[in-house]
Amino acid sequence: MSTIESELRPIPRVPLWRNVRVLRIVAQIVAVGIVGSIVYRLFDNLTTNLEDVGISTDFGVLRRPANFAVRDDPGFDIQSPVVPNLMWIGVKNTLMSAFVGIAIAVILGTLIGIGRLSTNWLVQKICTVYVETLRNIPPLVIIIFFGFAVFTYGPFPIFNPRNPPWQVKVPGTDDNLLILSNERWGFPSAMKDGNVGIFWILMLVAAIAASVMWWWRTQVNVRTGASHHRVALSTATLLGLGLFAFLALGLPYRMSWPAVSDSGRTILGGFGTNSGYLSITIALGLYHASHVAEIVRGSIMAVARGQSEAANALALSGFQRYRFVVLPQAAKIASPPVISQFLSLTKNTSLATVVAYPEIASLTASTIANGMPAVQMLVLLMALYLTISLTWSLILNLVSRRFKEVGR
Amino acid sequence: MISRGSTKHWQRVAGAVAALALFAGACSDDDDDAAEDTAVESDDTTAATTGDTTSDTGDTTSNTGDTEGTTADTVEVTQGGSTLDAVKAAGTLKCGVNDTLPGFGAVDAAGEFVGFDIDFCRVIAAAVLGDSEAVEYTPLTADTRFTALQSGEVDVLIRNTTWTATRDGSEGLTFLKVTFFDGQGMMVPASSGLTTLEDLADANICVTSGTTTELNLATVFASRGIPYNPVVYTTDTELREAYESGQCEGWTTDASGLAAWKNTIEAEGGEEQLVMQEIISKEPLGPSVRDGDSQWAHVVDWATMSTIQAWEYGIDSTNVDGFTTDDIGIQNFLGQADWDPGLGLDADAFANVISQVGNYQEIYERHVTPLGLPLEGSVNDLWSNGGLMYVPPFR
Amino acid sequence: MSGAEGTLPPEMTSGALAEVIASHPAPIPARSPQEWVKKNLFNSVMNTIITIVVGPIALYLLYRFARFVLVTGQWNAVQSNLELFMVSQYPRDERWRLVWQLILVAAAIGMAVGLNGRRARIVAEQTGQPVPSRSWQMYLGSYWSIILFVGVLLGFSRTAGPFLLAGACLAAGVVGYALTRGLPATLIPYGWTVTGLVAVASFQVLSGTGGWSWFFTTLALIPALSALARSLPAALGLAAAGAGIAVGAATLVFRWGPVGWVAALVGVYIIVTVLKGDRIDAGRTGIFMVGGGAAFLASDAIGHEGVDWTRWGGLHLTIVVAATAIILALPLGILLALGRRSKLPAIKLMSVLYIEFFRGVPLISLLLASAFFFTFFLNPGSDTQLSTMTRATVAITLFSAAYVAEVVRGGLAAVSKGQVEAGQALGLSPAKLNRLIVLPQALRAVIPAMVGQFISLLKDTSLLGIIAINEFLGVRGLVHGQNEFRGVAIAEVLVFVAFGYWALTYTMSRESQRLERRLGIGHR
Repeated sequence: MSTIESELRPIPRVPLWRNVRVLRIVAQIVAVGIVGSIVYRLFDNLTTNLEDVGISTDFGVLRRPANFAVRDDPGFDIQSPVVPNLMWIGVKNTLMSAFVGIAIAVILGTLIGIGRLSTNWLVQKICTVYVETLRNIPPLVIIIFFGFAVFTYGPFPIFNPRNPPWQVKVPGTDDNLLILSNERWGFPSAMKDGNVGIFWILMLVAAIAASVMWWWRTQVNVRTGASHHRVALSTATLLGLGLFAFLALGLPYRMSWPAVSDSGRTILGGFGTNSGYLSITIALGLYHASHVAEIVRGSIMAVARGQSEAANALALSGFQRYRFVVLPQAAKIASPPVISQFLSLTKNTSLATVVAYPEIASLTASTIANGMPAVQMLVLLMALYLTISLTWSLILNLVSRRFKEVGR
Repeated sequence: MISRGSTKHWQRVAGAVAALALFAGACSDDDDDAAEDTAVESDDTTAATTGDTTSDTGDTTSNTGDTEGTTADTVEVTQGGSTLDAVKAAGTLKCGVNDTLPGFGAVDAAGEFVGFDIDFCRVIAAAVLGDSEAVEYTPLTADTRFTALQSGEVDVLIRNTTWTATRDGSEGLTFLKVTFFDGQGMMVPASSGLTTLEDLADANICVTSGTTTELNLATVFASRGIPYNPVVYTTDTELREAYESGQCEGWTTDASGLAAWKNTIEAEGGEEQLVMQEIISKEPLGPSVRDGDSQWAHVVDWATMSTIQAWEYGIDSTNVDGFTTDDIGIQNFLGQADWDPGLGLDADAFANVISQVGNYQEIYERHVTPLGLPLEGSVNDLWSNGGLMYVPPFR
Repeated sequence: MSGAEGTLPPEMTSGALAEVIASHPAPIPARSPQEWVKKNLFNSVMNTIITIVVGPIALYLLYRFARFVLVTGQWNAVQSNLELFMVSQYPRDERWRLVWQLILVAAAIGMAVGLNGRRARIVAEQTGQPVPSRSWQMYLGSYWSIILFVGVLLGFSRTAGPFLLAGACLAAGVVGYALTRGLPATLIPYGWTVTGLVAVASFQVLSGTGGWSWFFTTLALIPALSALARSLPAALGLAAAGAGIAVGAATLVFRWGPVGWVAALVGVYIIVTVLKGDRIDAGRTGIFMVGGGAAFLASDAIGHEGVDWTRWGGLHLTIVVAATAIILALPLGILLALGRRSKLPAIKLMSVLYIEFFRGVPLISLLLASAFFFTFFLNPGSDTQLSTMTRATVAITLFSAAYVAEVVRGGLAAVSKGQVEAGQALGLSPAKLNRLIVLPQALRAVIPAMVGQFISLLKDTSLLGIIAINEFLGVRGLVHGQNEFRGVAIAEVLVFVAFGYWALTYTMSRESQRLERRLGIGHR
């Protein structure tokens, strides 16, 4: 009865100015309006002012030739356009520095993070000093330190025709294992020599086979409780097939050893790099290792003590306790913050301009300095970094979601 | 029910529209409030500073209210584009300079700016304000110097800047009287045995970013097909560190700069240096001002040229006070006669320049000669001595 | 975390006490050195090997470092440029401003310490817990890095000035502490107001007349912030009214002098009193304004003209820029954090875009933008000049606001859902819920993270050198630009600079950890 009555009776109307829904919409319109008009005003000012002083606001200028050469990129034609050619070199250099830096940071950081929890007093103290020192110094200072105090003025010899660099030979041969100087370093690398495409297709097959092996051993383990040995077996599959493909295709890669060029000024073969790259990469690797170490330490400590005690009760050895109980859990806790360190390391590579390493930020600055309009170049720079950052964020979200599902 | 649903729908549409609108402008949305806040802030600062400095200079009334009125007027006048009035009202000249190039623009241990370019800032201040110390120096990097001038952060740019067509044409600035004729050279350690650019194949060459030097280097080496490796630093300090440590075999910049560095390095017991014979470009260096204010350009131009005219007249800072002559031209120049070229300067403007800063020769010999670049017989000598320093008549 | 604290009896988990316990581990039963060595260095085969390998390397590095610092280092590059490192090209005639600023800051710190201790004692008395105290050894333990840095600076100085200054600062701090440590409970809020006033006055002295706008900004900001914890709408209203009046008055002042100033004060004061109807806050605002006015007039009378901040430099600039940026970023960050949690899609979207944009790009790109085209955002034909310094500060502020927003968001998320639900059950409106339950807990929880943010901001200011602003690291360029230090003492200068940054940030990060522990314990 009552329901019918209430349907019959007109619902008392809330006055418009007290209707929450209306208020919300109004609030949003007002907010968007204010922000939008400010943005519009600023944008308008910017374009008007730039036109007044005669600076182009057209993005077409980005296709103008760069007109300057790039460090350690002898193939770069100075007449080729800023976008995409010059900036492509920048992106390549940024990523090359970021990835190696990340590898250093993760490996070193994990070791130091574990070291801070060592029962060895000496190791514990050294790791603590490392973390507390590096973490509290601006990365730029560390980069300059490497660039100048270590490489430029450090113990390494000059590299020019009158001054050969240090060449560490592979014992018994004339090949250089390492070339060290205050400007260029050379490392051995693999060089393609034959049918690389087919080799990588075969490697893909091998990887699939290894995954199948992994899945199969896991199934066996779940069904029968027999130990799975999946890491060993999958690796063996991958390496075995890979080796087979490598031999069958007649060694598509061979070792390339670094050698001093005829001019006595550059490195041919191998992987030759310069002090700018080394400074930025090592400095950022070390700086972020101190942050990673703190994350790793915190994560290990966050794994409940009971877990560790349970492992002890099962009579697992110290190594087993870490390998099978503590680290897998700690890794889940540590992953998201460590990935944000990757993001921050990638952004910090933009400091490379002080050590003359041509990554995107310093190439952008150079380009602007050489007469390219600043607004377009900086918008491009920000867009490139946003792309990189958003990619990292995406990975971060995927990882944390996955660990949330699997984890607690 | 229907009405509720439609409201929700409407809300969603509004959200989407807003999202689209914002994606376009997201980059700078909140910049804006802060930028505006600061605008207000520094507006006040400028005004306040203006008021006080003017009374310090002593040539205006002590009535603060009056001075503020002047400032308000200035704002309007400046919108018309008169830098001269703005500088006079502010009581200081804002000069964009280098702070890391010895001899031209550097900071000494006492924190004072010194150098050839610095002295020309003082010359302009002496001419316009009657006080060579009324200069506010803004150190600029090679990268940011033109922006600083375009945006009005500085009134004049005197930072060993080369006059080029592109810069005149598309950087929104006007180059004035060349104060120093230079050319780009290459320096190598003397012991290296390198004498030509071709010897530098594959070599690391240190260069400062954002300079004509960097572009010349690329052009010259590319045209001659010499492979090389540019190591680009933003400041000379870092560059010198890289060069002296042997990271770079060659250092290229203006020949005057190279001479300065050669001199400095050798004087400090460094390795002996060789500046190659070959000059790969023309580098006329001089002051520049914003486009579109010819009055200010004239003032800067003639103030600069007065140092050369005084040199020609044989007037220097030691004899300018009480300089007596029957030459009416010189009397006019020194403001002893009733002569006003209509530049908007006081009658004794040029006399102030000479007495407070000195003539071109004095400035040169104070800063550039110690670098090992004598004035006599150089391209920067007076035209009557076979150099290029020639100025239009002061009449 | 949980392990050690879990063993404490529940009635002993007062923050300060736990800290005392944490910093004084249970005495290890006296053992002979051999036993210690055996237990800590050779307790397993692995550790024995590590000790034997690492030990000599560590000792050698330590020896090399000590030798570098004490014997081979050419520290005269640092010594003769100490002034440049501290204040760069700050005009000599105006250095008295820096002296007074330091002394006032020291006094403010002393007062803050005194007030904090006083409050802790009162709380302890009320709850019947033992009165917490920190011995001088504990202060030494907490602040040893800064003390060491000051010691090094004094060691480098060749005149008596720095010693006198250090003494004066110490005296000011002690006086501030002595004045506040016995303050009656009812006066504590006023004590905090006066402390804030002294801090603002220190900036007033620094900037002189140029600080008009700063003064009015603070005027608008402080009541707004103090109101924020109570009522968000009121705070917004206040901020708007305050800002309006501040801007209006700032303009008026230049025409009519003190009259406009007084009018502005009265206006703000009335708004605050009317809107809040809170006696203490009205009183505090009054004190703040009258005192601020007095400090301002005093500094105006002495100083005439401030030093434009394009001429600031060195460590002084580093600290001032970082502090300015974090203070300016705070309100913006809080708004963005609230916006990001807002249920209004447009507002949420704007906040998210802002935060993700500024977190996604490196600071250097923003600084380059500030160097290259920020000025072009001004109205065409406007006479306003933005110095490189101002634009860079804007860039850093915008940048850190995004990070502050994330920190605050973390704090908001940390407020347990139960709290919110309990509030809803009481029938609180969303606004009341925010201001009475969520924000107080959230803002308290983010204090350590905010300190962390300040630390990273302090480190980030080192990038200013790249756009030709001579902050602490930038002075390196000036030093190596001098004839006698070209290409020499590269490592020494860098080690000194690194040591300076480290000394400041190390202490702060330790303090933030301490705070985190304390708040964390109180939280549970």
